[in-house]
Amino acid sequence: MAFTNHCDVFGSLHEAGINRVVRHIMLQRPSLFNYGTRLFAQQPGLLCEKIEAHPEVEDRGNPILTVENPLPVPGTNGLYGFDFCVQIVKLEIDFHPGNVFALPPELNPPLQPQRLALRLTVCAAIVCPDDRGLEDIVKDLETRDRDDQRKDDEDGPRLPPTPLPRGKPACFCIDVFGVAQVTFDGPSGSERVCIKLMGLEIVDVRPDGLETSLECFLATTLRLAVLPRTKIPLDFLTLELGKYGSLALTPTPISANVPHNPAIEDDQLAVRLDLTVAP
Amino acid sequence: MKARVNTCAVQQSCLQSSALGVLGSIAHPVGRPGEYSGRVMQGKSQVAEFSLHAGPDVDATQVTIDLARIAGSPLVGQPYKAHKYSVNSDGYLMLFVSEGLGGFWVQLSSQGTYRSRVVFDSRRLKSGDLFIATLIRPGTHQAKMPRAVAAIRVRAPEASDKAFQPPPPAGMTCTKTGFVPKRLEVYATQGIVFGFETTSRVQIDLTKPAPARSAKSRRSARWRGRPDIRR
Amino acid sequence: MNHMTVAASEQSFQAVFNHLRDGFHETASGGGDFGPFSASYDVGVRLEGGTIDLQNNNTVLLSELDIVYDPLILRLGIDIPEICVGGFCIIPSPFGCILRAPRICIFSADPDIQIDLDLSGLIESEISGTFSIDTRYFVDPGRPAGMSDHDAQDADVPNKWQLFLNPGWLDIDLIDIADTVGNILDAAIDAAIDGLLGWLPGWARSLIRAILGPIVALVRAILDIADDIQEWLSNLLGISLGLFNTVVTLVADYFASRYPFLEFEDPIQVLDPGVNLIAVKVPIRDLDVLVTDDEMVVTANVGA
Repeated sequence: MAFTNHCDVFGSLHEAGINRVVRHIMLQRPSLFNYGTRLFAQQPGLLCEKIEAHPEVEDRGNPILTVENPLPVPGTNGLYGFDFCVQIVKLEIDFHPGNVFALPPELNPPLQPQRLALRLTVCAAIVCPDDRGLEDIVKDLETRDRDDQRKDDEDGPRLPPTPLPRGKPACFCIDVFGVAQVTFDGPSGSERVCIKLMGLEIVDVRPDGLETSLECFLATTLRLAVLPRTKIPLDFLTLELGKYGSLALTPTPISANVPHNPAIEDDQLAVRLDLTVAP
Repeated sequence: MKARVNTCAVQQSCLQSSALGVLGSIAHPVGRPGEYSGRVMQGKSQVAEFSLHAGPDVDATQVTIDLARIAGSPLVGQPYKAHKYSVNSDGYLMLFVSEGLGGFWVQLSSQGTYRSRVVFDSRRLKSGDLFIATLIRPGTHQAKMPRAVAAIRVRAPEASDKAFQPPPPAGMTCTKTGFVPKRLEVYATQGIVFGFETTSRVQIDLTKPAPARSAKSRRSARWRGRPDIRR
Repeated sequence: MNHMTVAASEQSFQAVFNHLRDGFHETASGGGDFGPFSASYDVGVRLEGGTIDLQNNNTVLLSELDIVYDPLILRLGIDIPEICVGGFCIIPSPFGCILRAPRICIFSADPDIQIDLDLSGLIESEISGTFSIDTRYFVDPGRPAGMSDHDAQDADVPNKWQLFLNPGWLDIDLIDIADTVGNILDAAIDAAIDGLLGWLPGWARSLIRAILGPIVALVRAILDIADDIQEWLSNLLGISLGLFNTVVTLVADYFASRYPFLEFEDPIQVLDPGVNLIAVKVPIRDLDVLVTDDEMVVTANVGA
């Protein structure tokens, strides 16, 4: 059966290919997968995992890390915060039928049709201050006069917090699994394939509430920060076929012949497009 | 593209045997073997000279001299060269003018042991000489000799499928009593050969040009189409 | 299993081909000397129509690609014979002419008369042929060795994958020459002769025309046209001047060497650049093409 039986142009990307693409994105856009406070930007040796970056990133002065504000220490009115880092050090994709890695029971394996599975390794750390550093801060807080404290109470937390000094990062890494689907996104004629996360599961963190909170944290980070910035253009999936011939390619409408578009099947992401010849 | 037109030929309206121009020529039978010298004159000026050897051993029955070609212009510092020709003693000296204003006349002298003698003067043609005229301008012409005239009607060629080929030359004789015949009809470019039974000269003038026909030729060819042509 | 598969239906391929076809506009000229006449042409060529048929043997069949000659100017240089009078025999004899009148020329054209024929739109021809698809990796000669891919993109000298239509065979068929070409030649000849003779007095023009005979017939004889002007023109343009070979070569060269029907940079861009962020580019390797009855399939791998 021809690829283009029900469309004008067909494009597909095998999961082996998409994992290579992910690897290239991680090398050339490391700041999308690595977050931390200024301490880690200035001293990347403190990171949990060394960031591998394409030489062009350094040559052109691109950031290898997205700098975030320190996590505020509760009760300090935002005066002090923890240095921290969060790194997605590994990201793997498995298209239906899932045969690269197994999903945890919480995600209801086997992987359903039209779904892709994600496996991430996330490493994170907060920099825990040493005792001497804390003592200095306590003294500082005590010496603040009542007027300052009243002002802090009235004004609320000030940002950014001052990082707690002289600590060491306490790194940990966890395996995270996710299930997602793909959709088209963007204005007509400039559609991209985007990944929509449907569920995330961290394996074996107790208690459940902590696990759920961490899952929420990571899922939200993925949904807000990573996935919106990694949409796949149709030009890439069609090797720019339409671009060169001034063809307008738009997704083939869903029908009995094309029940899913984009589709995930046979370990591939596939898109089916119809062409309109530009005047 | 350029067209070279013999304007003197086109514009000429008078032909004279005594002052040769384009479209007129004179044939003189040499008659005797010997050495001859010729003087070419234009008006009162000598513009060329030549020597002529006539002998029974020469194959050529005709020597043709283009007077315009050999003439120099001594008045403007262009001297002429001497030319040498040979012809069979029973042959002819043909004199003509290929281009230019003309007005040439020629004297031929025999070179005797002790003196030269004029044996031919183109201003006075005698028995045996021929004056050949080619009229190209359609219309009515008048041929004149002293005390006689003749009418010559020159017709324009008819338009036809084929290129025009003039008929053979017509003949006219200058006699003591005048031209014979007195009327002649020829086509343009058809030659007229005047013979002489008496010493004379001939002049032909255009008296009434024929009205010009339309310059466009009548199209006679048709192209047929052939729809399926393949290499 | 290839990482990437892109397939284009026959209709899509036709659309890409049409785009490529519409970009074709070439010019050429040529000429030759053929004895009594010379001929030269200036031609501008465009393409229209053409049907693409993908074949199971990995080829693309092209049918009925119309060639539009816009313009096609054919210039004929013709030697009009000299017109002379005289030369007739005055005294014939059984052994030959004893005395002959001199020949005096009254008209000649030097060099040739030139007839310009505008044949634009009067000649229909078509190209058919088969193509295979040629995959090439283009390294811009202006790219210095050691230049990074991102620098090369900025300097507009990136490497590229290119797919060309490589002609296997191309045939050009002369379909038709309009019937009016004869009349056009006719009128052009008349005009040329009028230009040549126009300044002469009317009687002289008539005489010269009469001596030359029907001008059209004369020129036809000089050009060796015989009965069928279309066949003559076909032979002149095709065989003598090699116009059709030139056109086929132009078309073949255009598709095979100059304009790929598919082209993309390598590495190919996946994410656009941002503020202080380089574009994310992915290398493509092992590009290959297969043509079936239904579609053209391009496969490739994502490089490591």
